[in-house]
Amino acid sequence: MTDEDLVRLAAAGDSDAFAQLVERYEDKVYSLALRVCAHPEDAADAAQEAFLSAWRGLPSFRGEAGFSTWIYRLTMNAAVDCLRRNQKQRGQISLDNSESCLPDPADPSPGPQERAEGGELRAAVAEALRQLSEDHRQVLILRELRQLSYEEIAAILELDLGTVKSRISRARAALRKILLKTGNLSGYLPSKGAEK
Amino acid sequence: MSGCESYETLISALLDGALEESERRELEDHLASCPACRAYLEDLKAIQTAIGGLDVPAPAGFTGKVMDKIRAESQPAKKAKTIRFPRWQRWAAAAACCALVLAGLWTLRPGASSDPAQVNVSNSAAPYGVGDGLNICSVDGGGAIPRDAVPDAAAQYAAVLTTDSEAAQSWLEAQLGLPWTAGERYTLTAEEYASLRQALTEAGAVYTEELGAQASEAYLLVAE
Repeated sequence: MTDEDLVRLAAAGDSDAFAQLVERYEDKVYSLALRVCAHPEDAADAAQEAFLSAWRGLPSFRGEAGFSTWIYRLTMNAAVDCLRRNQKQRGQISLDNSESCLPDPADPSPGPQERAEGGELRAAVAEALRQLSEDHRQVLILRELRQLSYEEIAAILELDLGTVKSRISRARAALRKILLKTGNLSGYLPSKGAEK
Repeated sequence: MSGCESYETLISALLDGALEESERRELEDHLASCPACRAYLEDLKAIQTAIGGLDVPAPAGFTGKVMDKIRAESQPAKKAKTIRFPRWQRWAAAAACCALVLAGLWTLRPGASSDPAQVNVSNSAAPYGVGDGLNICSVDGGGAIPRDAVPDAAAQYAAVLTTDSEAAQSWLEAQLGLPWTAGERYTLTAEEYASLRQALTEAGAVYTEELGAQASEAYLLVAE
């Protein structure tokens, strides 16, 4: 059954149809939330909140943009909400656009499994993503983790296409800068002189 | 990569398959002669692959937990949530309503003064009628008296929606012309509530909704 079929059934009150949608998207939604929130427990809460919002909103969901776009939008909103709430609770104030969101030492990711399976670069990238500004992190994970088009990202984050394109470019540059600083990309440079 | 900053956007777009043919040719020409930009492209490709590998499975039993919550929410509203007011308070509330209605009628009588400070019974508050034996009146004195002048009794509303979303803030401003104040409560008619929910859904906003007394036609928006 397609997403559209399941959405139609779920909107009519069929919770089993909705359960299929949740199963279909749980990993994708959770992964997105995890990259925004950083904390696995917060990510699970945000992912759950996104699905609950979807269930509540189904009667008025028109389906123009497709369920995936909608659920990712709900996820980003729930995750950002969760992140802000928790940062407020933890007394952090770094919600601006500077690349100043320091990693939380309490966060266990990237874990040993991540390092073992994906090598050092993947673990370093996961770490570097958390140091990006909220804006940069959002566009980059929607693009690279979910492989969404500029149009879909624009719809999810309510940005215009030009902003999405330039923000993704800046986010990549910022992430690379962090990785160069930590020495995780030095192998890809033809020579140090070429970079300078 | 000094002087090559303008190519960063093109390299990024190349990775996304979003280059025009002319841009692609221009970039290829540049890459052929610029090792720094070639290195930049290679780095971005490596980053792309690395992020693509960061997918993780949801915690075990995730779907089950979500569905448990959903099924619990779909249960009929529990009467246990009802806050009962003492009988004398209900009579007092009813008497206060009657007094306000009479005051309204008095000020609206032919020949009455057109003093703008007078208190009128608000038409928009009409649905706030009988709810679980308690009469609640909302008054509107030309905007001077807040719309949330009702007791704290969740069970008196058909539903209570709590949010701090920007979508709700702009909806409140645009639709009711009211400023958003955190901690404030706003009573809504069924039509207003439907409109608010629609706005929140379209914006993908986060909110919690508690179903209340089915007999009530009044809705409550709680600003977090």
